[in-house]
Amino acid sequence: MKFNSPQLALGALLIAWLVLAAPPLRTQIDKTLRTRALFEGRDADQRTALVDNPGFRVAQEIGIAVPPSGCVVVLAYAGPAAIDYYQSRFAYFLYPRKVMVFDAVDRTQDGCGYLAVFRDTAQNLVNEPFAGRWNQADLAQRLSGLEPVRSGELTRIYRVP
Amino acid sequence: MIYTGYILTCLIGWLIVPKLAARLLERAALTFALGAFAISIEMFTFDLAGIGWNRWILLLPWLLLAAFRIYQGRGQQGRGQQGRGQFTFEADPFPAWWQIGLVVLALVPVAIWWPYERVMPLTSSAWDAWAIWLFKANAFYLDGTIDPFLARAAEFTDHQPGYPLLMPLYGAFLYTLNGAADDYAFKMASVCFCLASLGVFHYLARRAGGPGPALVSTVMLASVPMLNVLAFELAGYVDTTLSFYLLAAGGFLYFWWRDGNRFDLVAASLAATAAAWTKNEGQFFLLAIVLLGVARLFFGRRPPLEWGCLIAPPAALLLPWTIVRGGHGVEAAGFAMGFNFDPKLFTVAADALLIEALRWDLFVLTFVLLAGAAVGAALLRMSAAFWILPGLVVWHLSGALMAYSTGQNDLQWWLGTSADRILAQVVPLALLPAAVVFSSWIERQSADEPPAGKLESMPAPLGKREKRRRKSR
Repeated sequence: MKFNSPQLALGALLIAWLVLAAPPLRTQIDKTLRTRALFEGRDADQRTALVDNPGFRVAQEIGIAVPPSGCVVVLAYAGPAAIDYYQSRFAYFLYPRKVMVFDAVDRTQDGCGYLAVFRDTAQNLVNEPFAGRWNQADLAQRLSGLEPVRSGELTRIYRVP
Repeated sequence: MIYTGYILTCLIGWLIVPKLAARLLERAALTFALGAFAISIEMFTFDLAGIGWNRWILLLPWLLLAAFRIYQGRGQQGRGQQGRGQFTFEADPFPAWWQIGLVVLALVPVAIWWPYERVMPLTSSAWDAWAIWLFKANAFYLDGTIDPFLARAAEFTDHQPGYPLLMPLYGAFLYTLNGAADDYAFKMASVCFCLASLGVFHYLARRAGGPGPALVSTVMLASVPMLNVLAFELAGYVDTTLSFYLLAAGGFLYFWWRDGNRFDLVAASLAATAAAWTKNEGQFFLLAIVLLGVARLFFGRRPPLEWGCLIAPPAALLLPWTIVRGGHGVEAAGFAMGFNFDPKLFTVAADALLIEALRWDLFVLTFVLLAGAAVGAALLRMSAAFWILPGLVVWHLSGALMAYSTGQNDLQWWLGTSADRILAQVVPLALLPAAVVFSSWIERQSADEPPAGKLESMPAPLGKREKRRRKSR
């Protein structure tokens, strides 16, 4: 084999390539092992709940109470970016239900048959502080005339007459 | 059932193109991608025709096609011919030790990423996967049609209702087959397309030259970290699917320019249409394929049928989609590139893209090698056809730069969330020129020397005519 042979060049290139690719692969092995340990013994729903706290579980509770043809207004005590996230997340989980997420207790939607109230986790609120309008007395007054449908671990859901 | 659906997808692709000069795994790669594309067209066509999506109704055309292929094969066997309808592939000769070693090396990164946990729902970090692609697949499946989702498009502006439909419709097909939506199982489609990319890359590189450079460059492709991130960690994004179709479109177009075989033109046009049917970036790429095709047809004075082969697939699919989307008042996603062009933003984006492209922890030496291949091609004075491959990579990245330069979004955020994916989309296509140049270099050197000791020790299978000629000697 000549020193300038293409086979030699190709072989050298492959070795250099694999040397460069090795550290990211090593990192990936660690990441895979960590992920495996995190998810060990959990089913698919539990895994989703673990990495999507609390969006998935809230959506599950709303999904049980609100029929597929229904519409639900979600009043969420959550930060501004989190509101956008929950809006998209609930639309995804709860389709074909119509979902609107607000961070103000006085927000309404005509013709919407259900109201859900939930509070984001303390950890999420530290990272993304609440910036909407939230008055507990106003909320209590609004909920007083409504029929409770479900009181879940994270969410209270009411039927709107 | 969804995993069975992936196998069924390969079989459907195989039914469409029963004979192709490719090895078994290369065939599986090509037929999987062709099958997914064909299924999405079937779903769309049935929807336009008002035919409800039902497991058996969706399988019926393919069952009929299978029956036809069997009938066709038997008829030809009865006439003593080698059946056109038989399902064939090139037999793999027993590989040499170095080839086995390289295949094992190619599988190491896949094995590291493979555990199913990697495709679990890392929801907050994989926005596009569920908010755009998985959401649409789920909505189409639940509604049994695409209309209700598009009718509610104003409600789902964050979910990009105007984006193309290949993967959502393919997902809806798998869910219909399964009888329930299963996002986790559908996310495996990204992994399937990643493996298919390795298969089709090997097929194209092998056709371009010898098995040595093909296998070595396939190993390199398999170990590009960003490609694996996209396929496994960001499973559900359609960038892996797009990268497959960009590679196939560019590769087949190269062979058509080089050899003038009509099959390659059809394959390039279909793959480019599939790219445009997968993601917006694919539409800009399709434009390049059509322009290059028109140039060759016009200056090469090719027959009118080839004009049809080039233009018909995108026109037949993308025009109806444009009409359906427009009928629901859904704007095409994207924006008019060239308008609102800001040269300052262009410079910033070009710098950022270049820095990202040179990150070895994401792309190893992919883009350095692309530049090296261009230099090598210039030194070897390779044909004009070669320059299609690096040219298409540059075209694709230029399209992204033009988009960044419109200032549609905050540039730093936009670059941070998309630059690595844009580059990853063209990684397979960017590695192909190096494989072609090495093959050409080996070929030229072996023309001056006796063939002993060549890396490409495995000759391509002989054609029937060549076998007969040698026997008759």
